[in-house]
Amino acid sequence: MLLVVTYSRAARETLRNVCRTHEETVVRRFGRAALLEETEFGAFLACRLREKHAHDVQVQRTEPFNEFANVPEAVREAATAYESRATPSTPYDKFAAGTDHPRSSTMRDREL
Amino acid sequence: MSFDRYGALATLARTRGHTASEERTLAHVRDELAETAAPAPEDLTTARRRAAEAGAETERLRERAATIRGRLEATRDAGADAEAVERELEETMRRLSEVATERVAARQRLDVQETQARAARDSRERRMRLEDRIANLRRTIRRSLAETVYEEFGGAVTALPDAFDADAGDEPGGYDGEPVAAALAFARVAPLRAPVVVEATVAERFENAATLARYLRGPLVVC
Repeated sequence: MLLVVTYSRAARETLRNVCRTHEETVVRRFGRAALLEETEFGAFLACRLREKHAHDVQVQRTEPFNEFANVPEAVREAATAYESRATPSTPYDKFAAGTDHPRSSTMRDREL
Repeated sequence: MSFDRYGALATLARTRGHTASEERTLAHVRDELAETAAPAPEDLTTARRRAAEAGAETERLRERAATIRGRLEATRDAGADAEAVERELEETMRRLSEVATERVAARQRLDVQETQARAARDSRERRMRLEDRIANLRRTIRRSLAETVYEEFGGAVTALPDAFDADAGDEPGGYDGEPVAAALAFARVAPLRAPVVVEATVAERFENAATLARYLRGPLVVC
């Protein structure tokens, strides 16, 4: 899908109008951002916004996130283990200390 | 006709010396916005186009090299002179390597500019928040100023002939009636310097122009 984020009041207003007029192409709306369908028409709307508001519009191409295809097993397991921790107040790094789970700083430095 | 009730009443309140407590906050936020510089616009369009073009050109040359390679093999298999085809392949490979280097460079330039754009968006976002805040404060100020003179305005609405069937309610949002009735009531309470210009049909609803002039407590032009 195409994620369109606006960074000015004018661009936000145009996005609102576009969303109102082309509901069938809008997958989801979030205030100043919207997800458009990845069709030529979705791209046409994104290009129009970019043409009109240049730097005040950011367009990203998104795709579904598959944790089994894109995420190392250790990271996935750490998330599962942490979400079933006994004490909800334990911060992650304290939880991971002394285990095989990766440290948050290590994960931060590694690109997916 | 349309009539900006809040705007008119807020202006009237100001002429009566009323102020709103949010005005100082508004001045602060305006200063803050003035200090939050708009980031210099980065030309990402050019960078995106170059990266895309370099990518397409690389693909085109890669396909061309494969075709020539096929032709070279066929020429050799046929036992013909392959020198010209070899030279063509060599030239294509040289061009491909150049374009591939350009492609990497264009990609890197785009990455750098996208990172810069991301940083610039932080300040764009800050500016937008401040602009939203200013708009909200201005609305609040208008509303609270309008409230200070609303009772007076309400009295003028009540004094209108029954033909207008307007009701001011207790607060600026509670007005129920035609815009023209609000405009007339406003003209009655506001210190206007110029005469009020009305259409004859409006004067008729007051019986005659003299009644309307008495209502307005000021000079009147009927057209």
